[in-house]
Formats: sequence, C-alpha cells, structure tokens
Amino acid sequence: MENLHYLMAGISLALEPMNLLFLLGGVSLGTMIGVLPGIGPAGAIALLLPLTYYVPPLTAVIMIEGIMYGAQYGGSTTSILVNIPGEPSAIITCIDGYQMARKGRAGPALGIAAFASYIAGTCCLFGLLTIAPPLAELGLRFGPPEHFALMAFGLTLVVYLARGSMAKALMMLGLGIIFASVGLDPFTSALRFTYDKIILRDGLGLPQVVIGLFGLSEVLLVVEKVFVRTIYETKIKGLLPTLKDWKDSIFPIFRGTVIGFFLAVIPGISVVIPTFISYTLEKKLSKHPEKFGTGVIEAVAGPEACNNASSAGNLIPMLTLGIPTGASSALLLGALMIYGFHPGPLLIKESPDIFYGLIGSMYIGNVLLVILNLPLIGIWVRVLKIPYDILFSLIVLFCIIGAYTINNDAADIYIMVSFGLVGYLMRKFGYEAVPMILAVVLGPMWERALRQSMIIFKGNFLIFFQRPISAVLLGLAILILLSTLFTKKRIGQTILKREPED
Amino acid sequence: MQKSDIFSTLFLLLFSVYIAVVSSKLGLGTLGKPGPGFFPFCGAMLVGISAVVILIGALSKMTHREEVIAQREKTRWWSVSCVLGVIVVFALLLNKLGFVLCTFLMFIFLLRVVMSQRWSKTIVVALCTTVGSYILFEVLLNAQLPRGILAF
Repeated sequence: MENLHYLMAGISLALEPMNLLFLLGGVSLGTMIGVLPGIGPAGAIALLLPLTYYVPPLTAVIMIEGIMYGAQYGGSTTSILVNIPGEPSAIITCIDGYQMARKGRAGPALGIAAFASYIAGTCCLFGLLTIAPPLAELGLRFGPPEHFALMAFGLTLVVYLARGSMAKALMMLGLGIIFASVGLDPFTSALRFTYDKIILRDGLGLPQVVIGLFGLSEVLLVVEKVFVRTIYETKIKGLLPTLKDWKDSIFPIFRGTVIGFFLAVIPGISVVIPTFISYTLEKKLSKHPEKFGTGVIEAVAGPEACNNASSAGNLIPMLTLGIPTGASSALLLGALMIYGFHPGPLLIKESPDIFYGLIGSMYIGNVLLVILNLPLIGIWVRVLKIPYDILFSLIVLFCIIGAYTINNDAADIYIMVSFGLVGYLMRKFGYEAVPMILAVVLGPMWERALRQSMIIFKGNFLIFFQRPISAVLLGLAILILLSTLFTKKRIGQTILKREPED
Repeated sequence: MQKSDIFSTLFLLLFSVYIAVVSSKLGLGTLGKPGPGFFPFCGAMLVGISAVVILIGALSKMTHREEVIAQREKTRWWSVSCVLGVIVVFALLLNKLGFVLCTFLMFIFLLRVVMSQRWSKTIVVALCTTVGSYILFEVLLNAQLPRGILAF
C-alpha cells in the first residue's frame, strides 16, 4: 500500500504542466524516431542531451525515458505497415504483423500492439515498485569487487549474445575499454592518449561517441546504397481488436511482459533478445504453431508487450545499481550525473522524487502513447513519407549541432564524425557496436572498481572469488565463456540468426 | 572467413600492439597499485588476443578453401566520403562563416552532389531547412551557435 501511495505522488509530479509538456514531447519524438528508420532512440537522446541542461532534472529524465519507450510503440507501426522495423526491437513484429496487414487486418495488428505495450508498461510499473527498493538495499552491500564482478558478468553476457562471432565481440569490448580510458586518469591524474589535445582531457564524451555511432553511421549506411523505397498504401480500419483477438492475445501479453521485464533486469540483455524469446515461446505453446508467420495476432501481441516491458526492466539495474544496460539508459544515467545525482543504491532514498516521478510519468506516458498511436496513427504513416534525401540531410545537421552544443566547441564535431566513420566501418565489416558502447559507458566505473579492489586488497586477485556475490557472478561469467569452448552452439544463437543486421 | 575480415583483424591487431606499447609507457604499476596504463593495457590485450584467435581460425580455414564469396554490392564510397568530408569542412568553417551560412552551403552540397537532386529543389529545401533550423536552435532553444560573418 505504501508503494501505491508513492506511485500516486509520482503521478501527480508527472502531471505538473512542465513535466507533462516534456513528457508529451518525449513520447511523440520517441514515436517519430521509432517510425523513422535511420535514427534510433540512443542517437536521438544523445542529440537532445544538451537541451536537458535548461530544464529541471526530473523533467529531463521524464523526457528521455519517454523517448525510449515511445520508440517501442513507433517501431511496431512500420513493422506492421511496411515490413520495415523502425527499431531492432520490432524486428520480430514484422513477421506476423506485416502478414496481418496484407490480409487487411492492419488495424487490429496496430491496435493490439498498442494495447499490449500499454498493458505491459502498466504491469511493469508495479514490478519496478516492488523490485527496485529491495534490490537497492542489496546494492548497498556491494563493494568494489562486487561492482567489478557485476559489470564483468553483464559484459560477458553481451559478448555471448552477440549476433556474429564472439571473438569479434570481444575485440569490440577491448576497443571500448581503450576508448574509455582516454583522458585524465582519475587515480594519478596522468593524461592518457590525449596527444596534447585539450578536448581529449575530459575523455571522448559519451554523447559525441553515441551521436557518431548511432546517428551518423546510420546515415552513411543509407547513402552508400542507391536507395529505393516503396510506400504501400494500406487502408487502416477498425483499430479495435475483436473479442477473439483479445482471447488469443491476453496470455501472450502477460507472458511477454514477464519475460521482457525479468530478462531486462539482467545487465547486458537489451530489448531485442527478449522479443525473440517471447515469439519462440508463443510458437511452442500455440495449438497451431504452423500458422505462425502467416499473420496470427498472438505473435504480434507477445513480442510487443515484451519490448515495452524490457524498456521498463532496463531501468532497474540503472536506478538501483547505477549500471546501464544499453546506450539509451547510459545516456539517461549520464543526464542524472550531470545534475549531480548518484544513480545507484542511494538514489531511491536520497531523491525519491526522481525515482517515483519517473515511474509515475511512465504510466501517464503509456496512456499518452495509446492516444498518440491509435487515433493519430495517420500522422505517423505520413511521417514515413518524408523524402529520404531531406530526412538524412537533416539528421546530418542534427548530428553536427548535437555534437557542437555539448561544449560549444567545434572539436566535438571531429570526435563525432570520427565515430561516425568507426561505426560505419564496424557495421560494414560485421562488428557489433553494442559491446563497444557498453564498454565505453561502463569503462570508467569498471576501471575504478577494479583498481579500488586491487588497492584495498593489496593485489590479491583471489579476493574476487572469496566474496560470495562476486564469486558467483564471476563464476557464471567464466562458465558462460568456457561453455562456448565445449559446445559450438550458443544458446539463443539459432533464434538470433534470424535477425537481420540492424 | 572473408578477406575483409582478415584485413580488419590485422588492423585491429596492430592497433592493439600500439595501445599496449603506449599503455606500458604510461606505467602499468603493480598488482597492489595499478598505474594509469593498466586498464587500457587490459583492453589492448583483449583486442590483441581475440585478433590472434580470429586470424589463426581464418588461416586454418583458408587451407581448406572454404572461402565464402562475399555478396558483392556496389558501395558508393564516394557518397560516404562526401558526407564525412562535408561535416569536417562544416566544423572547420563554423566559427568563420557562422552557423547559418554553413548550414545553407552544407544542404546545397548534400542535396545536389550526394543525393543528386535538381537545382530548383535543392535551393528551396536548403533555404527552408536553414531558416527552420535557425528558428529552432537560435530563437526557440537559444543554442548560441556561432554567427560568423553574417551578423545574425
């Protein structure tokens, strides 16, 4: 009951005019970005980060989070209508969603996607409220060795779940560690890899790197090909799913929610993998698995609930332990740190207004998104028709301005453009950006935890295995890595294979 | 294993050797007191060892002649370098010419040269987007972008 009281307080915070306005802006922008291919939520948040300096912390956090789950709604729209996933998390929705649209059932597909997302989003609020505070209590008992082990575990999972070769993913992890160490060494104040450039002293800067890797490189990937795009004219009618649709979908929605939420709590699992698991599970449980792929509604409902639940679950490790699970939540963490908060076990106690305000805003945001995505679906379809040449020129401009306004320094544009090139080449040669960006984000924290533990325990490496929590986490990480030596197959690899390059 | 894989891996291997050398110069410290070069050295090791593993795997497969022929898609390297180049030029000229002029010129270049649009469309779109972005960033967001030779 106490939680409910806090939730109401959070909702009323979110309903303050300023917060509501930015929430509406965030979810609309998120939907738009979800609909548009070429730029994802991470790139968009990075572009908007400078804007957040001008508003109060809660408002900024509400908007950033709004972009994150708004993109999940928008991503499904294009999957269903044009068979192009706006976001990687909506890839699986393409399979049956697009088939439904071809059969003239685009309306119910869009409808169930929005309702599934709404139901999942709402359920997850209670999940967040029940799980986050006790987990934060547990987090208080974490010392440097436990933090080190937790990050090692998360990063190992990211490498293990990489789509391509694991060795390549490990390479990207190492590269991220190297990029993360650019700048002033926090322990000795030595300058590392700065080459006498003032701009490099504070490190490469997460927003510049993310704008390059997730914004500019996408543009480059599009301009390298002669792009032909076909627009399908689909009549959308009857957005409300029928009673039978509901009967088919309701359990997949709840299963998708549970899968998405709990998997996303594990650092290293993003929003994409749970949707594949949800789809596979629904197919296994279905009485008519052969119909999957021909446009069955539960194959849309499950994964759509799942990706929304994941984006809520992703908040847990970030808010309670200070560990982001992806590029977007890393930027949210970065925004909180700019305001002087310390995301971690103490956040809920020290700044309950941020924690409960954010959760409250997610409820309001989900309501807004249902309104934005059902009656106003026509607008988003029209967004799809923006000519690509104009769209991509605009994204280039936004990338430049986004990088420049971080410090009002043109040198940041060079960092951004370098990482645009790096990101482009990585995708071209089959390297994944996710292990690298997570290493860049976690690098400084990881280094601090590692060096602190080594100093405290005087170079005794065994300490990591003598403390129970870190021993279990590191043991699991080593087990995961070793398992690939004995079995050539990685769990989940078969499902992931079906996922095209995003 | 494709040829491009071997080149990219070799490049990353050389890069990791370079980083390892620089890191050890920065000072690796001792286990009880790690120095500033310790962490990047670990990163370089990770890159280097993985690269060696990939290369060994690639070479042993090469003898079996199991080379996968890569899907040859024509890459427009020219467009990619144009986009990268125009951004660098933008950064170089930003403080001299100012944001408005730079934006306008960049749009002309991107639309006309990279996306090969008609002149009429190029100019109209470039004008609209320049004015639009000026209103958005300067007037609404007060972003304080450099003014340069134009007074506004």
